[in-house]
Amino acid sequence: MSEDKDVLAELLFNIAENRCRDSYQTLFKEIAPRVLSMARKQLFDESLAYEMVQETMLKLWLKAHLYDASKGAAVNWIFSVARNVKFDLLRRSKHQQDWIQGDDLWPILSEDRDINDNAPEDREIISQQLQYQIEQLPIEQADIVRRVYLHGESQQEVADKLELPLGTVKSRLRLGLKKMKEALDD
Amino acid sequence: MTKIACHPSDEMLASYAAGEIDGGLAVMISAHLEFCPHCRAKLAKYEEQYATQAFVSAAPDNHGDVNLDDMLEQIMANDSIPEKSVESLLNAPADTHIEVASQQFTLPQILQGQQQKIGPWSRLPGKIQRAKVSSASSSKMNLIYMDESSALPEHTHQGNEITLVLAGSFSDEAGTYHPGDFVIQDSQHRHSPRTEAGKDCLCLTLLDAPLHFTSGFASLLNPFSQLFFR
Ligand SMILES: [Zn+2]
Repeated sequence: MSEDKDVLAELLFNIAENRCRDSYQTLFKEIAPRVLSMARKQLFDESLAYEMVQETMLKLWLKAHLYDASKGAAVNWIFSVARNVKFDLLRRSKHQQDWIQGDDLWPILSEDRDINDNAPEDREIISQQLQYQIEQLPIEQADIVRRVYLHGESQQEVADKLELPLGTVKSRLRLGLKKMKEALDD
Repeated sequence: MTKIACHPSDEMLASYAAGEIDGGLAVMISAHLEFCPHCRAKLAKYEEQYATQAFVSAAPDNHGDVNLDDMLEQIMANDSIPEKSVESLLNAPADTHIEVASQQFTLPQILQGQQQKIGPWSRLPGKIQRAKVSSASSSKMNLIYMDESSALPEHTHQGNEITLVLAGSFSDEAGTYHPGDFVIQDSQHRHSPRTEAGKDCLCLTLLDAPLHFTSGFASLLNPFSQLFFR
């Protein structure tokens, strides 16, 4: 269909203006199998590939009037419609996973951090806000937050110095940071 | 309007055109394209190339067990449905704005009508607010609102960070960014974004790793960055 570009545009025009069923059938037979090839190459799920063809072809039937011949060949527009349908399908199918919450909020706390790059100058408005929030914490939590984050002691060092189990240090740190986070969100 | 200085790479635009790109990055690029005729023109070139490959050069698929004739009939049957209701099925009525700091901002088209995917605003230190945006992506997308005279502490990135300015402007060591600017940062960069007095800024950001704060007290924020920017 190398010189068919104008033909496709004409079909789209007939569909938009006259709801021309014959034009749509011709367009469908030209395009749908090729969208299917494209979909199968890009999506590994056969039912998703089918959906991509169906939605693309439905849009061509319902939205042919949106094709603007002054902006390029019909085949390019049809391609971009198919491509955008694919983006939408992927957004929809994956969006459930994007609201992961909970336990993985604190991965960094499970490992000892190195604070070798502590610069002497504390700055930013932030410092004051955080200082204030540390002061609001229960004293044993505040102590551990200060030691770990201000003085750069490792959690193990803190545990040794305070003669506490490492797990207690970790959980106090965790609680302290959680409270600070809640205060910030208020 | 200020001329846009920062754009996606050609490689990103080509992958976007082909439809073979991370969903989060696709949203960022789509939003940039709304601002940028320069990239729209480039994209059209790539699309032409891929359209030719897919629809002109390629042989049609043998249908396998997919019955395209049935599909054709179903679609044509849609004609009996009043056009309006089909339209509304295709495009849920779009909320075009989002409110933060008592102001209304126009959302990029790709996020319009997607308010249910935009999490509640939460406060970060330094007069900054953040709302998580759900996107089909392993990366983290956020709307970040920086009030006037606000600052994030200097930080590097463990991975890539892309910031798209939607409204207002912000600056860092490298310059000042305006609506449409698509700022790409990697682990080589250190920067401390800030806004000037009287100028706030709304950005859309995509992070593929938590921010890593580099200096002084700000390193205290590292565990927070896990929260704020995820
Ligand atoms: Zn651009």
